[in-house]
Amino acid sequence: MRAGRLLVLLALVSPVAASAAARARDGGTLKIAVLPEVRADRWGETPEGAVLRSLLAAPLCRIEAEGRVQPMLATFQRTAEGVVIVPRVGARFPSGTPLGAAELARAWTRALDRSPAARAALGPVRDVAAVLAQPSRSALLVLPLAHPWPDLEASLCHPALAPVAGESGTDGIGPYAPDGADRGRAVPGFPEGRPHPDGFAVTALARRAAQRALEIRAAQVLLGDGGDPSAPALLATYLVSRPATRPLVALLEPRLDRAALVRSFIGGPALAMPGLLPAVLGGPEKAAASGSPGRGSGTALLLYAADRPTQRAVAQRLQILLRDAGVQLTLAPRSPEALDRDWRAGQGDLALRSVLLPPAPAAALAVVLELAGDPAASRRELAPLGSLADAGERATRTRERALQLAATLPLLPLYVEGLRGRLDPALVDVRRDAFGLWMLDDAWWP
Amino acid sequence: MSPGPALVAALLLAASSTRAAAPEGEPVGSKALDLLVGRLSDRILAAHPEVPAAVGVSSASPALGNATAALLASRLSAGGLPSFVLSGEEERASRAQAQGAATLVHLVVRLDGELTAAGELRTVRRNFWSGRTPVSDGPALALAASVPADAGARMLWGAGQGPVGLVLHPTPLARFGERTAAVAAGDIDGDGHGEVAVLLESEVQLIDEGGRLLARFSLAGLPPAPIPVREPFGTLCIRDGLLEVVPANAAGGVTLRLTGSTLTSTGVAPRPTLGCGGDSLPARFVAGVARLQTDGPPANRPVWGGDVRRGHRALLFPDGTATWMRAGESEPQQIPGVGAGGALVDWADEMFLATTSDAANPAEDRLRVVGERSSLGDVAVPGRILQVCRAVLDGRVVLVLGVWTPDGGSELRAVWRRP
Repeated sequence: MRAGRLLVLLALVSPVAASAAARARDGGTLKIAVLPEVRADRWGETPEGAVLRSLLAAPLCRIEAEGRVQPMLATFQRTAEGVVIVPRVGARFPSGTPLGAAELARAWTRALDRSPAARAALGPVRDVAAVLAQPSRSALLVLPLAHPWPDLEASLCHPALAPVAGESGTDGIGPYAPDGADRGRAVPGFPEGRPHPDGFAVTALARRAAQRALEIRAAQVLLGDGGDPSAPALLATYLVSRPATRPLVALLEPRLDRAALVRSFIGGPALAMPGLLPAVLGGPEKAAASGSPGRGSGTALLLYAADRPTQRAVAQRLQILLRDAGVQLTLAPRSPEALDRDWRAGQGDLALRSVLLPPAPAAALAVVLELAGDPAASRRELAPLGSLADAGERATRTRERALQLAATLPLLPLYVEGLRGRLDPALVDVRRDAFGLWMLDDAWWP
Repeated sequence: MSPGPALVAALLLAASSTRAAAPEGEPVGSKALDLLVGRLSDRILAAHPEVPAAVGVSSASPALGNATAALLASRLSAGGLPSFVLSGEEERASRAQAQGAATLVHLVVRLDGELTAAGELRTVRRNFWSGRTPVSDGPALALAASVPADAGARMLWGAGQGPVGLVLHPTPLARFGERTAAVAAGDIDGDGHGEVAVLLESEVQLIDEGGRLLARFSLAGLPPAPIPVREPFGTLCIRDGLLEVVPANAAGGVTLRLTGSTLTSTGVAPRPTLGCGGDSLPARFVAGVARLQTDGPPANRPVWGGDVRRGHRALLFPDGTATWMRAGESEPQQIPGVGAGGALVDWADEMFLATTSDAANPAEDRLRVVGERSSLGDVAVPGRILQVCRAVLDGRVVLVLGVWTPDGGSELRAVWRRP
């Protein structure tokens, strides 16, 4: 009896003594378990990949959950011409090279080649190729605007525009510097201050092993499994088509049950997306009524990203739906980079495109229009939206235009996914940004 | 519509016990409470309940509960439903029946941003046909009403809350989208009213006693520290009509003067200090972490904060202990389980040390106040308290808290002592 009481007393007293930590504690290694598909996402195009990549390659800025733009690597100054990007002191690559206009221009030139989100973000810049080809010698990068675009700052926070020096995707400026293939060490001079842990370690594990690692606290962060359905979900997937293939999409649409697709093949924090914009950006929650399922014939080639298990499952599902309609769909797996390159080079009749939308309706519509692939039409659409200075008015008008454009653009919206991940409850100060991504660099534990 | 005699009695009772807590110049009475009771009585009278009615009101603040019950009973009586106040919390229905009531009105009143009442109206009359049905069962009409709070309601709410001597003001003094790095108070413009200065991540704000923004100063122009700090941290001091700002993330501080509604730099770079009076302790930031090292003893033992006031000196150490060196005493008092925020506060000729908890990520922090001779207990505050600052607002000595909220922002809360 007495021993029992003593134990209770010890149990009550000891955690208090061990956890004196009203402010963050520095030290330790942040242990991250990732599923293989997260490891495969080298450029951080999925929410999970973007969270992991941001530890080594931070974006220029963060959009806080309530919409405020928080500078990370650079601050922005508006001028009559456009926007000047001013790198912050301490924004240096692990090689020691400070971030300057030339480094940013080189990184963005490569990003434009690879990412529709990057092309959309820099779309409002007047003659962007020329601006990036001849950056000023100073640290400042001047972006002249072709038309007013109030969401430019928010767009520049997109992970796709995180500056990297090389071709690896993680050769950027982050709170951690690479320390071998699976580890990073804290960077003391990072502009936002060094992260609290001394380093991080990543382990790629199968789903069950990763879940188990989190349970036994061998991992503090798990990326690729679980998730919070109430957090913003912005990784949107569309079926894009060539003009000649539009009749096929018309055959598919009445057969498509997006909710069932999400339930059976996507899982995790995902939602059906019947409109061009997801619900979190004010898109419609119900699809417009479509006609009765007809029949056709012929063949088509569908490009999809091989590294994304959900895309593979959805591609196979679309194959079955179209076979029921009499169309033979051939699946063509591609790496995510090759998918963007090959589609723009004219390969394939249909493609599954997943892109992390910016958390502002007008900026998100710019990405949708970029996927549609008609730059002149994009500019025609976006310039009037950019002239609306009031954010609420701009959002409303954008939603209206998105509803009207849904019928004419060669894009069939399918579903939207949020960050899949779980955290050790002992981690402190891990919040989400407006993309719904965890800001892991603030993490610490008592 | 004039308040009934019972209300006047209740309010006078409440006021007599809380006179010092009432902000000066505010009438002792509450339009909000009047409005709330008006809505409830309209609803009750519209239901045409059987007479007479017993009115029982529960509240975390007995003063607010009593005032609501008295006002509602008098309003119902005036409206043609003879009513009386039912005191006590237990067995309401059977006691109402025993006292001859046919109807029981039972409400819970609280103040949570808004003044809210919710509860029910039920009959407690039992006749032959009721059989053995207990009086606490049977049909009931739900009642609910909510109105914006006013100063009077807040005073009643704060007046009788809890058994301890500390009261948290129910609404924040101010809210920010960023985290607070430091909080200071003083009379910067010499007008006799206190101002509160808040150091945020990107700017300094000066607010008045009512939480209104007086002036702001952007810190974007300050050269960054060679080794930045991730956590918002710094020191602030209002003295000699000037505001000394030293953000840990800047290479140096800035001294500001308030002219009209603008803060302008005087060009003098202040140093960080613990405390803000003539006997304040000079200190320096420890590079890369949210810690200060004082110039004096203890050497090589950084603190996450502290205070100096009238010969007393308090230091808060990152191991969760605080030392309090009292005026005229050589042996410091050691206090365990202490967090990052702390301040010395003089209340009624006794010096007190207010500290926060050392919990890493509490949903609800606790502000604990111990004195030289007595303890005032503690008060729960939602969020994480990172800063504690003594201030004189509306002529009263209060504690202003910098509280970090789970959304990544922060707010200022005020705690005062109930006499």
